[in-house]
Amino acid sequence: MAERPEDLNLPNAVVTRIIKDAIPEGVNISKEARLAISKAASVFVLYATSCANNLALKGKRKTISATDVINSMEDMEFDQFVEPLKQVLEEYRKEQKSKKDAASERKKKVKEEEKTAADSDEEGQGEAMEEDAGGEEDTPVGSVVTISDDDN
Amino acid sequence: MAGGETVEIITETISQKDETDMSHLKNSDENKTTNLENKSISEKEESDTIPAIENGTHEETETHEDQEETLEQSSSTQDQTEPSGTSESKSPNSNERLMRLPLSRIKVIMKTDPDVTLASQEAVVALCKATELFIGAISKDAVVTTLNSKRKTLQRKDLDVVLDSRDGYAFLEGTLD
Repeated sequence: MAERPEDLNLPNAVVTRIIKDAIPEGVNISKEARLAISKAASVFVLYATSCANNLALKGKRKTISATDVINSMEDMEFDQFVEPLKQVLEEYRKEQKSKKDAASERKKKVKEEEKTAADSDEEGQGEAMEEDAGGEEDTPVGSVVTISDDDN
Repeated sequence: MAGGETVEIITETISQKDETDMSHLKNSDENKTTNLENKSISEKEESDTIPAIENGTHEETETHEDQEETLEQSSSTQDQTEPSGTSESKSPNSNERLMRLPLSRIKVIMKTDPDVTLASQEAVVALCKATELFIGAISKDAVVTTLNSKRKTLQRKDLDVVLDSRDGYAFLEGTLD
């Protein structure tokens, strides 16, 4: 993969905002220091990836899991990150779940509306149409499941 | 009628505006005309999106929209006028958005490791947040040195002190030059 070297940097504006949130008000940061912290963060990502990957390999798994990442923080002597990370992960899972629920809810609604519309349109040819609608309903539900598998 | 409420709320909206734009508050007649303009505009917007709603509920939803606008405006004026209150307005912000760094970029960096075969989305999220925590931690550690030497600007040399002081930062040695 031929990526440009700047792709390995994190966006400057975001990094600056995170730094500003961390340091007391009224303290400025020099450009040099900012770039150094940004670079350090990129190195941190690489180092943590390597540590987490080692944990995954040790567990004979090919995919790095969130637990691997969190456990790698202890190896890197950033134990203080473990608790906040667990919390964030919990929140993230909740968020994903509510998103998924909302999406499936919406799909159901659309399907029902389509079904009632189809029913009212084609009142005469009842049974065959209803079977069709039933078949349509099954496929999107299956596709939702496969998408969630990919996510996990 | 609900119309009275609408007018009141819109007047509030405008009085929120008055910090930035005084011309709206010159007299009440002008207020009314702007109200009417606002109303017709938002009615047009609504009729585009929700054509089936009856008049009574229509006005109710309109007031809700106006309230939302009011909130947005007040928050934006707060940002402009009170930079000192940013620490308060930031905490709910960070709750809304779990991650501020782009996940895609984190993924790209992870993929440069030739040993990595796959990483779950959750792992990327965790690493993204960890990186944010890391940036915060290293900044907080470095600023101690800055303040100790009675400076007001965090400089590169403050970082060097931090890198030597903690084992956790040992992995950075030689990478920042």
